Amino acid sequence: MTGAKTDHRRTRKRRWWYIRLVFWALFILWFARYAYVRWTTPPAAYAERTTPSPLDDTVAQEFMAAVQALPPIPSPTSRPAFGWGPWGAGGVVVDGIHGPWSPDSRPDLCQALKYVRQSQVNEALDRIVAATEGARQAGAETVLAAGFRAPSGWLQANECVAPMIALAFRARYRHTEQANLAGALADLRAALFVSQRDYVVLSLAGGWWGDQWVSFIPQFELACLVQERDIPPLLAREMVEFLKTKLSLSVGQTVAFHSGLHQDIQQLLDRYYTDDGEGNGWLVLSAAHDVQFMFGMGPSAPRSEFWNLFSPLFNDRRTMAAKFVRQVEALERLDSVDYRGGRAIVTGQRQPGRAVSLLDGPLMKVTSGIDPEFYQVGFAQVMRRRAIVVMLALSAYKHEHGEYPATLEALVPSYLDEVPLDAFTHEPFRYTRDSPSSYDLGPARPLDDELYQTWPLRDFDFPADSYLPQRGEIRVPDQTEGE
Amino acid sequence: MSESPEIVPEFWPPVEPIEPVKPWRVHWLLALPATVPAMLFPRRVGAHLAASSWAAAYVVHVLSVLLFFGAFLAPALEGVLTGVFETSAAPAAYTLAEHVRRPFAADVLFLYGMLNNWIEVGIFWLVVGVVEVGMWVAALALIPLYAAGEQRARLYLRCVKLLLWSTMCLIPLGVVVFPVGEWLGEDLSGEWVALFVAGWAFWWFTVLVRLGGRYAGPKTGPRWSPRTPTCESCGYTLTGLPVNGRCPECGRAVQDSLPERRRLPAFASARWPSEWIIGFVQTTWAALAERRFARGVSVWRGYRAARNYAFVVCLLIGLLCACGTAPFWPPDDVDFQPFSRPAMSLVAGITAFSCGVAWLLVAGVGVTGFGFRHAAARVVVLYYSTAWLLVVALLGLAGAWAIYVIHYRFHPHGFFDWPVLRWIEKELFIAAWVMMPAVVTLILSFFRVRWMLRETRYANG
Repeated sequence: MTGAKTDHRRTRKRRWWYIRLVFWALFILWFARYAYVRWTTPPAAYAERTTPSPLDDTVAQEFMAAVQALPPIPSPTSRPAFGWGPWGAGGVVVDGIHGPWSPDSRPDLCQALKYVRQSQVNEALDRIVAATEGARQAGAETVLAAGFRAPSGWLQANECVAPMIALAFRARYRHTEQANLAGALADLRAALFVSQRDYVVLSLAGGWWGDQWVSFIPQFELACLVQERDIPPLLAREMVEFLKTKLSLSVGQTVAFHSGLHQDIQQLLDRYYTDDGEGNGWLVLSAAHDVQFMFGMGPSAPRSEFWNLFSPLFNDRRTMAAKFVRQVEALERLDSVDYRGGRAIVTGQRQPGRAVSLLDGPLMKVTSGIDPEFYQVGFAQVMRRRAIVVMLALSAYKHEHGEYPATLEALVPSYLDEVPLDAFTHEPFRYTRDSPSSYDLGPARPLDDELYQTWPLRDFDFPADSYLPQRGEIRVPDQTEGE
Repeated sequence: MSESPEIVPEFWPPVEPIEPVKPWRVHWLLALPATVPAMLFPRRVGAHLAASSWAAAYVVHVLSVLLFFGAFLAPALEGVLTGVFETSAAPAAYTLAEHVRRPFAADVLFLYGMLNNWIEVGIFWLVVGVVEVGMWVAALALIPLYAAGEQRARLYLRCVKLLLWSTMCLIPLGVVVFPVGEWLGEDLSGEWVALFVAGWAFWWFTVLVRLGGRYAGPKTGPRWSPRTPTCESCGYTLTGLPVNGRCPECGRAVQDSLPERRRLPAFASARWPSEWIIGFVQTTWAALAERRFARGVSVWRGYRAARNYAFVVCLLIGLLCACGTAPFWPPDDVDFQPFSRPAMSLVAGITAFSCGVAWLLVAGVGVTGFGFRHAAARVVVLYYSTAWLLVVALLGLAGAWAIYVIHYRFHPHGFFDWPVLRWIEKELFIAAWVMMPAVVTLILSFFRVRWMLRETRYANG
């Protein structure tokens, strides 16, 4: 009796054993397939083109090599707390070249000038300018994409700050001491291009507010230059084209740059998500190592495809695409409203329940709505760019006619296709010719306090009254030059 | 016809054999849902959890730890963007399914961001390995708590398994505490968080203890084995000797070694709450004052009551420290004091309770030789010996009060300050003297426990 019971139990146990075996075999097969697919499937961008374009790599690597060839900037001896080196240096430099100074009062600026006069530095800066020219010809987006694809070798954002400042310094040196206007403008174009690239990297990365200040330097230097010199129309036209096409005069596009949405959504998704052909796909975590989404994260380093096994935890491509579309729609509306309206749009995106979702993975910073700070900075940049475009045209007009025009309409069509509007109010700029050789250019209405009081604008009030032509050229006395 | 003398039998039957619970094994796929009844009824469910597979234990352990850390990390990671500034973004509204994914996504994102190279990956796995090995080592401390009289290897593995299961208590901590903190924001002070975490730790400990309250394994081990009659004094085998005789080895009366000679203390015999209090007082008095307490107390029965007695003593010590130290703490406005006065008293009480429990665990491991001796029998003696800790705590508190009073005698307007800065010689001297009774009692209690353990070394009952 007991034996029969035992046998019965054993038989039942054996039957369960086979069921378990089948279950586990199926599970292992399923998991093996799952792991294989996750391990081997690249993002859509890689799938379409498994190796980066030689052009992209050449341009990106040349730029990288040129920046790295720049000799290290000496630590300032006079102001150790405010170096003009890569970190947080912009404020001091701008303070220096903005107001009156003398070699005695600002020995650090003497150091800076001596630095850009070195032949090795000049060679490196020439390479940077050439590389950025090449990059612009290849298309900024291509180069930036190449940078994203090769993040392990790509520069950290702050590495671009030093060449940016050095280029701005050299531009001043070139047009004040060497009368090389074309060279100065080329330097400033390169510096502006680098500053824009900075934003793109940073907006996907953790975010670093120092760059607002630093990237302001080449803009400020360009504004000074066009008021100190009469620019030949050809050079002015080239610069205007650069500002309009390679940078942007659109608030929406500029803020998009700052928010990481500078490019086509499809491209952005292709870089990090697979594509199943029906508009969906999963996050390839191993490809997202260039996105620094948290503080304390080390420099971008390749990640194993093992991480892709966890991608089901995060939102899929379709969900992300919907979020991006919402973002872009908001961005597109920014050019049709004034500053206050734009700020309301931006703030509205970050309301509770709509913004930060951890399930967006490393891209949660991009999908968490446009940071109002980015909006403010981008807006201020566009205001300055539009003003500089007008000032370039005015300078070219004066170069040909010997005096500034009576109205801005005189600039069209010879110097400008159309006069850009004041971004703040979407109205024409306030322009008054004080004398044949001086003018007052400003916003149509007094700037909003909130916008005006942000520090990037405070030191760059483009009306001529706040600009001091006599602030001093960057010129060091001979006895200092010899040191 | 003369009546033949009563003879000591070859074996004595097991004392109070525990009837194991019929195991109801939890499948690993159902392990996570099983944590709910386990947390609500740990004593009832614990035996079934211990009988379940290792896969189930590790599934719960890993998921609990991941959930806890994920719940902790998620707001931190989102906090980078959802700061306190006006321009910060607000958190998303998650659906229920997304709430489940969120902590795991946070874990993955955190590790993804932190592990930048193979060295960091190696360090991470090393830390994980050390923690997991630490769990297996820490399980040794549970041996005295969980001993049901089974074989020691089985006992140890049960301790490990239930310790793994007990990490399920992290789930409510992660699921409740951090969201509540997030919700309350600035209003939830560090004091309340600390008290909440302390409360959670207490709850976790009670769950841990109660998980091992019942046994569901086979009836093999000292508890169910017939015991050879031995002389309680020297361990000589008494089989076949007349009950009225004496031990041939040491001369002790055989009757003194009979199982029925040992009885449960009053606390273990109590059935009603009113009896518990009287029983507690009687047992404490007996443990302290009766010289032959260990010779008469039953160590093979009343294990659970002895354990409860020890915990009551620890609770009393905590309560005494909380109330007794209340006037010592400086006023609330002192900068260096993190909590308010009542909270500091509570912290003192919790600390004293924790010290008592820690002492029980460590000493339990020591006296049972990591489970190599009959754990259940030896720890019963240890538990009743905690009465001495109560005396030590009382004397220590009295000493502290004496210092406090003396201090105020010299500094009537100051708040209590441990005498290390000024008056150091005189006050330290006084402090040393008034604390001397507590120290001496503590030292004596060590010898007393050791003696009690020797008295019960060959206990038959």
